[in-house]
Amino acid sequence: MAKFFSSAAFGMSAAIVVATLLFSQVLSWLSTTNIAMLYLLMVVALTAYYGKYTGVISAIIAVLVFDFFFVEPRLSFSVQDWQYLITFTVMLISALTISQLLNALRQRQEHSQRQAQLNQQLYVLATELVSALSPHDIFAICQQFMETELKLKVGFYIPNTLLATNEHFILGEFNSHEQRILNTLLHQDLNAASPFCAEQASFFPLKGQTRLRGIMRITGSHPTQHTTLETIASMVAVAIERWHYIHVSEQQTWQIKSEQLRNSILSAVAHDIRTPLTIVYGLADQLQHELTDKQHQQTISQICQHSWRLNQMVSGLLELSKLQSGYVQLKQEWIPIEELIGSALQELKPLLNQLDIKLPTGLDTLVYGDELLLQRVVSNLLDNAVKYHDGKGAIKISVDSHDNLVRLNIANTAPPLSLEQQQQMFAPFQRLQQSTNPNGMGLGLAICQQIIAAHQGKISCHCKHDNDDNQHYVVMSIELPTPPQPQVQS
Amino acid sequence: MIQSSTDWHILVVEDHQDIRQLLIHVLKKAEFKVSAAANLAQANDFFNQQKTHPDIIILDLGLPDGDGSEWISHLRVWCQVPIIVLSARFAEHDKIKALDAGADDYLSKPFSTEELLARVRAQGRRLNQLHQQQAMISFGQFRFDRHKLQLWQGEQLVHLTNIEYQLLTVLTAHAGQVLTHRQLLLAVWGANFSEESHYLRIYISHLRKKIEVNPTRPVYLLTEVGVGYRFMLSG
Repeated sequence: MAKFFSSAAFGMSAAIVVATLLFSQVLSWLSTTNIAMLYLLMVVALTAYYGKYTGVISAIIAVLVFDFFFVEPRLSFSVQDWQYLITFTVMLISALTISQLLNALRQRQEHSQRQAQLNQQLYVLATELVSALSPHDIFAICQQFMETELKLKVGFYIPNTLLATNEHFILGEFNSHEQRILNTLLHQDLNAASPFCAEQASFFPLKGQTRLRGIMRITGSHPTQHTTLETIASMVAVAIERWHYIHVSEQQTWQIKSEQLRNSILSAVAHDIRTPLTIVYGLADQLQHELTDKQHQQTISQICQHSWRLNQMVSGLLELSKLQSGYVQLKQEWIPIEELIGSALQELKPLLNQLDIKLPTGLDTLVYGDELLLQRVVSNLLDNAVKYHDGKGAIKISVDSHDNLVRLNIANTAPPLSLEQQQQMFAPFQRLQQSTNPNGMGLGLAICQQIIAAHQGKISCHCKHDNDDNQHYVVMSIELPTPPQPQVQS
Repeated sequence: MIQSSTDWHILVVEDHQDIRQLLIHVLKKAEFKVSAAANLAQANDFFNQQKTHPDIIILDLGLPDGDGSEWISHLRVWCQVPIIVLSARFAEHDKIKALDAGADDYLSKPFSTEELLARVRAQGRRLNQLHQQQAMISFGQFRFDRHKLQLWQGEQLVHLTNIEYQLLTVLTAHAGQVLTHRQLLLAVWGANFSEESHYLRIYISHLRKKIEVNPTRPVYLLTEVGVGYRFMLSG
């Protein structure tokens, strides 16, 4: 600073001395007006070179020197012709005005240089943030920038609810009180969030596309403009969100990949199991037709039955795992409920021979669903009813439909079940303890539940006592939501 | 020309050797002439001049050298040989694709001897009927005059609507054979309705009320779940 002033003073003095000598000795033939102009020029040059204060001082000195050396009487500050007072005033005002203007220009230039430099730094920061691989990297990059370029201390707070990984990311100290306040703030609406100051710190929300992603805290004083800090906050928000979405898409890719793997393993296993099963069943069935020996025929028929059931079980397992994966696409159509019941009865024909099955009349109700899957449900429920039927009463099927709901009940006579049993029934591999018929793996109801859930319906079990025939019944009921029935033009 | 069943030449196209052997064994036992192919390329040879043209084809849908459904639609352009496709149970999508491509029936694995022979015989009967079609067809107590569009139950004329007549005509013309929802919709309602399966289902249920003793447990008009319907004259 002192050095600058001494060099400015030296430059100014030298310029005035040289100019005065030059004007008095060499250019003495010039008129005093022109000499005044040349002094003015010198003042402008000095202002441009040394700045505002030198400009003002040199303007005053130039006026005095001009008066002393060039205005009659020379070598005196007294003025003969009073008109020179106007010259002095104009000279001083012009010199001061020009130096003021020059100075303003210089300041603006310096400011825009600073701004350009800051923009350059922000650009570098942005490129670094984009290549950051984790929120920790982002924080570190931002922290380094703030400390070296802006001399500010920065902190970040991202609670575990805002990003895909359910981790929290914190830089700096946030006490529990602060965390509580910030958590509430961060769950507010995106548009409502704006920067605020509290306890000598400024807080800038990190705004993502759809929601807030965290908070940036700035402590320390620096004349940095508020908008610059907001810009940095939004760059950090973009970087954080970018990381978040990369993570989300990676997760999805993995999910799809593992699902594909699982399906291909399942279908390979299914194919490998089914092929030999087809052969075993086919050969046994063929033998059954060819053998005349009664005893052997019975053996063969058992092989047939068991290999058939094995096939059913493999299919059931496959179906359940496919349903549980959640990737089953429903092929929804309008189906008369009579047809669903009818095809289930057709499928189970060999089992139903001697059983009394009570069907309701007028089954014209349509349900909206996937035919194959719903038929599976009705078959499984009917199969269950046959299995757990205690041999006394009938199997009763009933249908009732309300405004937008169709309920199908299948009831079989059986001893009452405890509430616990009624609820456990739908878990895979559950079979009732007292069951004397060990057929099946207990997948049937689990499959039913998955299918009905996929249709947004409900499946439940309850017990009731029918006073008409004085029997205990176990009733399985399914409820399917049904949109308005379609119109059919004849 | 009416062939007796023993004259039918059946081509089995199945890549798995043991299943192929099983099919050949069962069919030979039933006194059919049987040839076998392990893939589509070998099957194509049977349509060259050197080898005899098969009368019925049994085609597995999971062949290693190509899509069975595509092969069927290529063949169907010029050849009406009956085709029965073999596919896994619960693979209804594949069956529908093959049936819509022109296959005549399907058989789910694992299959019983009876099922296999019943399917083959139904196709054989159809082959013969092509040469001796009659307007009058009867099932149970019913007689259906397809020319006059009259359905008699004993001596009683049953009233059917126009669409029900068309539906019954198409179904009886392919008796014993499965027809997909799409095929029936195209035949009765036309191309604009090919996705409106509820039309078909509702009319089928109307028709069942008129021809079945117990519409919930039909004996003539059977449901092939997820695929379509099959009309059985024998009940």
